[in-house]
Amino acid sequence: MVNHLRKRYRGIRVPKISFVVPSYNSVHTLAETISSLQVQTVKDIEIVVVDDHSTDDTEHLMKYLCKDKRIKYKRLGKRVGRSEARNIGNAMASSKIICVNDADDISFRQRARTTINAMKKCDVFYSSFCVMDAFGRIREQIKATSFDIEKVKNDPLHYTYICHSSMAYKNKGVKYSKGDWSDLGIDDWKLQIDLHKKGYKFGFSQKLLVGYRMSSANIELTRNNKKVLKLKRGIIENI
Amino acid sequence: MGTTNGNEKAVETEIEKMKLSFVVPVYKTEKYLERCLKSLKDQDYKNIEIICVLDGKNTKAEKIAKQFETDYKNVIYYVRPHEGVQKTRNFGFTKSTGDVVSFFDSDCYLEPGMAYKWMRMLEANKDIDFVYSGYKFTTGDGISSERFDPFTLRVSNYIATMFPMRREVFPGFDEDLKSLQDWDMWLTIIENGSKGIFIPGYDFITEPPHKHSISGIGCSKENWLDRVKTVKKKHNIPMNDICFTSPVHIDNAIRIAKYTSEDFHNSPSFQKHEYKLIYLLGFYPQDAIAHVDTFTPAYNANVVIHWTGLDLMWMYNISFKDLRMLTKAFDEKIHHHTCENVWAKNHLIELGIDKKKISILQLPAVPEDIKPLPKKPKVLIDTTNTYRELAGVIAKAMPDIQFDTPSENINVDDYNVLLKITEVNVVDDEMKKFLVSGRHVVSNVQGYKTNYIPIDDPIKTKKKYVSTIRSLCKSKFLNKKAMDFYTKALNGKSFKKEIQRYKSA
Repeated sequence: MVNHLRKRYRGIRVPKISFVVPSYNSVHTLAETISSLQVQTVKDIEIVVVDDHSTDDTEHLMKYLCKDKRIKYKRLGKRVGRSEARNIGNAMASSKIICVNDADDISFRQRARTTINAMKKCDVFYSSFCVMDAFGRIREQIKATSFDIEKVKNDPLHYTYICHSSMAYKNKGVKYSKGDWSDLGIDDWKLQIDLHKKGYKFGFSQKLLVGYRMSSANIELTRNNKKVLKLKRGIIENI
Repeated sequence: MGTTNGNEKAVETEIEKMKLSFVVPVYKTEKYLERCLKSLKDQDYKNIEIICVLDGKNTKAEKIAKQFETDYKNVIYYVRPHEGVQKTRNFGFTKSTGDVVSFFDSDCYLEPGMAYKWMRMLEANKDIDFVYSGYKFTTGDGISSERFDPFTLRVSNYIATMFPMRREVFPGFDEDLKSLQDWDMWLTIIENGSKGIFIPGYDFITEPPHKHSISGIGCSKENWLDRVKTVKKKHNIPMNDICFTSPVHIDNAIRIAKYTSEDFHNSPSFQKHEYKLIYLLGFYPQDAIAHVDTFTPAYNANVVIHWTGLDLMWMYNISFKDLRMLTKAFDEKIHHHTCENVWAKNHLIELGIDKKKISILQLPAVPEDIKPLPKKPKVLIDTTNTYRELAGVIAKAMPDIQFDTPSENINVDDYNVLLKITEVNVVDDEMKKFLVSGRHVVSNVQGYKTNYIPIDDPIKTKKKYVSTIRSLCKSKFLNKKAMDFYTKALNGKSFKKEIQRYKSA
């Protein structure tokens, strides 16, 4: 609704690209993440931070950082889960393109520029990424490969080989699934399948644009894999 | 895949514009030097230089430094006659060329990835001149830091020397001072109008204080006070008699310390001090460990506890045995108790505290600049757990009005009305904030202009709450009567006078 109005009035500028950062208890990394977005080579950006009712110092830190007017900060009144936080962030974002960037991952300087250029030809964009350890040291690079639905069918437990934090998509009513999808941390997987079903055009780049932080807090390490498989299979069989 | 030479390629995509200089003074710490230099050189951020300055001849350290100098381009070392830390560090600074400088002691080592974190922060935020966080000891204990506030930094230092600052800001270490040079330096930086930012975390790891630790030379526990005094004298900081402290209501304690122009300290009795009165805001039995320093010798200071209200409720949750122990400790160690009103006083008497030791004293609340009410009505709900359901029902009855739950930094200007439902019959700090700045309050707390609605019959009370909130949301004017009354009653003047009384034994 807001987007619609904004586009109509010529006076209000719409930034070229929006970064949506959902965060929950991650002050330790949030400062670095946001400053990595602030120094992008493209200056005309927007940073949407959705604080999912953190219990740590996030709010105080954000008060400092909000001097930069490109940052929009919203603190939620109660814990809603990560997919809902992302949905709220997407609704707050005003530009056409939404870049996903989790609170512990880092975007390299060129990301906004390459994404904007690439999105002229496709609806969903992703790139190669580095895996970092908890301290931010780069451990390995993983190259982007083309999105292949057959591959996903054969190996449902794994990723779609797309790093969610390196993704960008067009902002037209994209919604993450709630409930178990969110709790098990596979709402991003579901979204990618959903976008594929809708007939979005996938594009990718081999450039390293994102640092993905792997730490002991990551949900992939502790979740119930049986449940994940069950959920995912239910979706795959219908494709 | 695997750990290929991914490092270099990834870093290529990042242009490292700003240079980071590490100045490493060495004095009899050759044991730890290699570990330190290795941690700096191994940082992912490659646009760095390391300047190693040997304070006095030291063949072992020289050997290590020489090795590093030949192996790596960006390491340089100098040998100088023994002159002390400050001169060594200042000399190192003159030789450095970086945009950002960090004075890194040789018995510490940096966690990987921290240089990137610092430089990203400093590059993105131009108005911030230094970044800091906590650190750890090699034994495993961590020391966290506090939020940046020039007021609290004037009382005690919570920023370690190692943290980076912009080159323009660095004023030089005072060479006349024997110790606490780092505190002195941060104070001068702040006086020049610079700002810092605190990022929670532990950035480097250091040896616990030892014989040769570079900052510990000529220091002992006995001359601690003299050392503090010399620094405070240099910066015209008065030695105050009263210190506010609180493990829970930290922001509130800092604010009151500012009104009364006294000190705030997190744990005042950690080091020797000359305070005559330590004023503790809120006593929560569940974290009694945090109060240990009020019970251990407070260096001849009187200790006064102010009961804020909610903490009284907590006292009912502890066992009878613990309660008896606490009241015994109160008898011996605590000079006086203060509370907000008669209701609280009665509770204290019930807990077994001597009647003579209790007096009623309201904490001050001085308004900041008052802004008009927002156009769209907005209500803040604050309840305790027992009344959460009732509050939810009230909020659901008015879908056209926006309701918020409290978070840490509430901006009073955003709200029209505060809805407060608690078991505690005290006009607490939050309500005072709202009343003083002309907002309306609806609550089950008895007090002037608090729109008292008792909770008895659930359906009737809900109706009453809804109707009063609706009518208050319609009014476009500030609550002038309450504003005038509370600003008069709660200005810090009477509070200042009162607390002076508790200073004498």
